[in-house]
Amino acid sequence: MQIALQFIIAVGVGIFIILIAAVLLWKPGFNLWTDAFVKRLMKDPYPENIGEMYNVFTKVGFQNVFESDLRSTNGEPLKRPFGTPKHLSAWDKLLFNPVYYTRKPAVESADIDTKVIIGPKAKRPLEIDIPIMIAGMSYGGGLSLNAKIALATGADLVKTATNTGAGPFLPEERKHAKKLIIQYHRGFWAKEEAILRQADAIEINLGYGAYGSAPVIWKYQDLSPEFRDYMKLDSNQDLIEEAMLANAKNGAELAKLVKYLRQLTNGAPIGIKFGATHHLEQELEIVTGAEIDFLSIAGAESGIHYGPGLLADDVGLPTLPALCRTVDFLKQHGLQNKISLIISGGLVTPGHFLKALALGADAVAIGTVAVLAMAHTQITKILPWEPVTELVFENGKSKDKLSIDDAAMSIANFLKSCNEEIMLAIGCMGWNSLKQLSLADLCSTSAEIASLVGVDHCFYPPKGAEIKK
Amino acid sequence: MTGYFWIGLGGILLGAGMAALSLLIILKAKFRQSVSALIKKPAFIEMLTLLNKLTWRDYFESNLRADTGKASQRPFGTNIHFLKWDQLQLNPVFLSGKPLAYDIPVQTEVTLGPKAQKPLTLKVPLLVSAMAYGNAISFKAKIALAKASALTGTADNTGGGPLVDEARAVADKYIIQFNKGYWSKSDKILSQADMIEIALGHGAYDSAPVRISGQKVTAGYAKRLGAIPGLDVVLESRIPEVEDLADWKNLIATLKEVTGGVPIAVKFGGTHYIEAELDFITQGGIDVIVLDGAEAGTHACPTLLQDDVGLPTLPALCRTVQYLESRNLTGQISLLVGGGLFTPGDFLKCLALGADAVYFGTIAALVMSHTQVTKATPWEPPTGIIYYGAKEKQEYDPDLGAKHLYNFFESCIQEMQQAARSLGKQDLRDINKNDLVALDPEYARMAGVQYMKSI
Repeated sequence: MQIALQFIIAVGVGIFIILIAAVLLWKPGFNLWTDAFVKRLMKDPYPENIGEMYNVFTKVGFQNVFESDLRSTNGEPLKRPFGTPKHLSAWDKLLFNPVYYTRKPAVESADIDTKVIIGPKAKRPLEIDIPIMIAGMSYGGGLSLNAKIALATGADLVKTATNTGAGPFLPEERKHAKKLIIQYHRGFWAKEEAILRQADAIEINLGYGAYGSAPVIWKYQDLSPEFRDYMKLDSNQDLIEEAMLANAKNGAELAKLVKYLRQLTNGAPIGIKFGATHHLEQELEIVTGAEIDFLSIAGAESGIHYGPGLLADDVGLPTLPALCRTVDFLKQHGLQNKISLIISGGLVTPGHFLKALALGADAVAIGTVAVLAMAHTQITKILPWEPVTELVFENGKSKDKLSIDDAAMSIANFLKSCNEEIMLAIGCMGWNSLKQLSLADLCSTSAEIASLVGVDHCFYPPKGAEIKK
Repeated sequence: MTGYFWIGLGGILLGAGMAALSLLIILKAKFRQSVSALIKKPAFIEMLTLLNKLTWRDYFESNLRADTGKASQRPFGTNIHFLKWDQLQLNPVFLSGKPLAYDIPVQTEVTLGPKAQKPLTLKVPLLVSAMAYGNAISFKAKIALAKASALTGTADNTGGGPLVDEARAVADKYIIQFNKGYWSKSDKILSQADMIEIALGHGAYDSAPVRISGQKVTAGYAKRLGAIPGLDVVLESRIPEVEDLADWKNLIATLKEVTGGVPIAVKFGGTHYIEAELDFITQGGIDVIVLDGAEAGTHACPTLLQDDVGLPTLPALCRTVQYLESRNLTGQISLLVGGGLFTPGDFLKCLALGADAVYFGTIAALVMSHTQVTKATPWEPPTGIIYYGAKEKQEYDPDLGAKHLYNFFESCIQEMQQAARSLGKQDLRDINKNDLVALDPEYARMAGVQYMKSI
């Protein structure tokens, strides 16, 4: 007995000694280890050298390595949320021109008008107080019910519009949003006349910036049980957004559809959304022939609930050139005051928003940053073990943890803050309304961007142009 | 007895062995597990995509917006480098000219407003940018700036805040800003100036109005301002006294009279309308132009105004120099420039391009905090030590801060002098565009310097 006790004490002393040694000797120990490692790094033949990893990672790119791992795990197209991480539009190369005495900057107490009217020629135009709206994000495939309601409530707090996305119609969302854009999309659902009649505007969805015109399949096994019930799905029934809208396969059919929707909604603005493409002008030719009230263009940087990397990264025209070319098209065809233009795709800061507006967009739509601003500090409920999508997406494990009130407040605050900065900048340029902004308020630090956008290069004085007073 | 000894020793060895082995095994397994878990976790890849898409900064700032619902307040100005100073290089001479020996002194003196009755002469062509007491920095920091300016032989600046008498007392030369508010405008205050700087705006805030919340207007601060404690204070978008050209000329004449003829400077932020602005500003007999490029810092202001509004420092400088040349004003109106300048190389390039002196703010705020940042970090940012609203401001040691800032000035000046010796110039004022080469043809054309290859 005593021997056993002594043995146990001895074992304990041994453990103690090693721990003390570990505490005291970690520095020389670590030094020995790094020395060995560095020597190995410098001497091992290249193919056996761990340093080769650095080469391959920089060659392939971190993200590509990880995504390839995911591809090799599932054998399915990648399901990457939020679209491409690439920055394809050089917003940083555009700068606004403040004034001091060429015009008078607006005084502190000045009211800066940021109201926007979408579809001015429609019988019931859509009026929003700030030029930033929430982009189409669907319930089910993407966002959870809580998140949808939070976005609607938040948008309503600052009197802007939200959008159903390609998901089903949610009576709860309609209840919380005074201005709701309903998408008429390529799926079979949410097309009942009773639903469409409730729209403040209808957006015919022909495709996405991050998905092109590819068909979108919402796999049965990826959908949450609640959502399956909500859609009354049979077991193993996938939801499919087809490549083309079944009842609008050409210009004439599209015009018929627009006319039908206009009558049905008693003159709400009817618009068309599609992802930007280099065939933009041809597409616009057909689309504007259908007598629409607004255009909604999604640049290649757009987000999406999730989609293949190829379609997000490599397909489509970036937001900046898409915007400039669409504005040029509308100008050339005398449509500028008839068709409103909503632009989206990779717009994150109020600087991006205001630049898009100055370049000729009537409003911007935000998706990714809206979701993140909505999640705000609530993201700590799931970090670090889960990503933000688990909190706000319908098939997220922690979707019930999202507090609707907090989320609504966060997104409303975000929108308010952005708009306040926009008003300050408009005042700085000596204007008192968003509508007064034009290309003359911008210059560029790059010759390439200057010629694309049609503004001055900041290296040289404006050419003889009299500055507007 | 020996039996016990051996059992004891065996036990110790076994225990040690077991502990060491299990430590190794646990560490190795844990490492493997966490790496593979990280790679496989969609959470990891998703956050990676997100932060690549938004950038850390945009994500962080969006969250601040979602929290406050107010225009953001980022300190120090934009971190976008719109243009690159390293597209311009200085040209050393070896035998084509004469590099100077080490014992030949290089003159650094500069005179601002040479046509004024009382021009302002500085020992070095470097100044710390305007930093306002109260709106931005603390009392102790203000004293440190004043001391450093006196040590260096340059001028200190009130910024948009009130004149701090204690700082005026320790400084040698003082620049008083004629602000867009209503304070520090009495004859008594203005007559203490060695130069008056009419502040129309700056590079970060441009011409936007600034509202200082009443919470910051404490009794002591309010007394210096002549304001009521607890009420908001507003710096307007434009100078209340000036509505048209007649007012402008009148203001300048008044200021000259009140101060007995010190140089009158006008400070404004870079804008693409710079020529048109200068057409207005240069009337009425001003002595100095102070240009603040879009990269300029500030104590805190909305990111939109910092990142997206204004003309960068480099073209603002070059275009102003060209403007002054075309109107035959070079030599009559001095030119100060600031905004995103950090290194003696940046400063010297500005002088070569035609500036008479250089303002720097952000880097000054950092070096005057220097080792004292440890009093604020890691729980508060380094600015915690010099900012007016910060908790740790009382711990700041102004003498030490002044010494560090003075050292920075000295170090920069000595490097600039060494560069001048290598260029073969005895006076910093002799360095000009011919001492520069551009690595980019567009920069060469804009700045009027030679391109690195003849084309």
